[in-house]
Amino acid sequence: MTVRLVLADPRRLVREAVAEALVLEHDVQVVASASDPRAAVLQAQRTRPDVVAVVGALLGPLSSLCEGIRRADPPPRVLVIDGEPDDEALLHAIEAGVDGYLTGDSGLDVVAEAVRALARGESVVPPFMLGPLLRRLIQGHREATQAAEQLVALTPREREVLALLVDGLDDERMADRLVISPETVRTHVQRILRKLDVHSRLEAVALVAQTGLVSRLERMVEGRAS
Amino acid sequence: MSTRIRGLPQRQTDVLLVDEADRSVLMAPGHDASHLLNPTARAIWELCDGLTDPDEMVGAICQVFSVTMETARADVTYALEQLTAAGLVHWTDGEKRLGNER
Repeated sequence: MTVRLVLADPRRLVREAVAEALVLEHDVQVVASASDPRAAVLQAQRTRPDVVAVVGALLGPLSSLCEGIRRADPPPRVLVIDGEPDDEALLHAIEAGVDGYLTGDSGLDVVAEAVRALARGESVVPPFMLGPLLRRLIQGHREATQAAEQLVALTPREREVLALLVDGLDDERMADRLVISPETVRTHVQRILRKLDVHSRLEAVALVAQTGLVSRLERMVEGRAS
Repeated sequence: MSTRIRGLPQRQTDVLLVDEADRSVLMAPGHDASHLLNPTARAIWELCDGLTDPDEMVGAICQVFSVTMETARADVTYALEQLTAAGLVHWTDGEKRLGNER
């Protein structure tokens, strides 16, 4: 089986050199190339590749790029080839839905093998980066679990105030929305900060956002309203 | 498979992880045998810090590799059993039964 690959890199020289070199790999065929994210999405939809390989330099909003590529039918797997080993970038890529990640110093043989592995349905992460990645995911899960427990400890009214904080409302607007006084809003906010063990409104909002609890908070508030 | 193990897995401190060109090896001083690790087993070894529950390892592996919970659990269980049998990992206080949870 020949694996069909779309290669996205802003450098024409790299695109052409990689495509030329991959000719030697008889089971990997570069069916199209792209110089920017929009072209990568279009080529993915037009050429029905098995894998789209995107170099880090093209990365911007990675999740929307993955989403666009995955709209192709059938949805191809996504490989990111980044520059230096960067645990944060790898975590970001995995959370965005990337299927494979290689560092920029990977040889062509490694890239070809990764493309094959992705086409087989496997995932690819450099072995030396896998342990730190799993540790970060575990830590994130622990923080989310802890934050969820803290959310449960809030009263329904405090959850409403927190949801409005997340929406960016100030005391006056929250008071209008909840038909309570701004002073009462401030009291609720102080209690929320204490229960969430944070020191500022910004930290409270960040805690909810970073632990992926925005939708859960919204459901809790909607559940009370309905 | 259900293996009786206790608590949280922790690396033996005198065991060295050596990365070679295309493989990773664990070497214990005073032992002739070395232990080859595949990439997943290598990562599991790194997570054996006495603080991380095997269930947490299973969850993270599911997220990265898009495999079922059963598959990830089987991989984690097998790796921990091998590491334990080789004397490279010991278990901290507490009891846990891998393979019978969730």
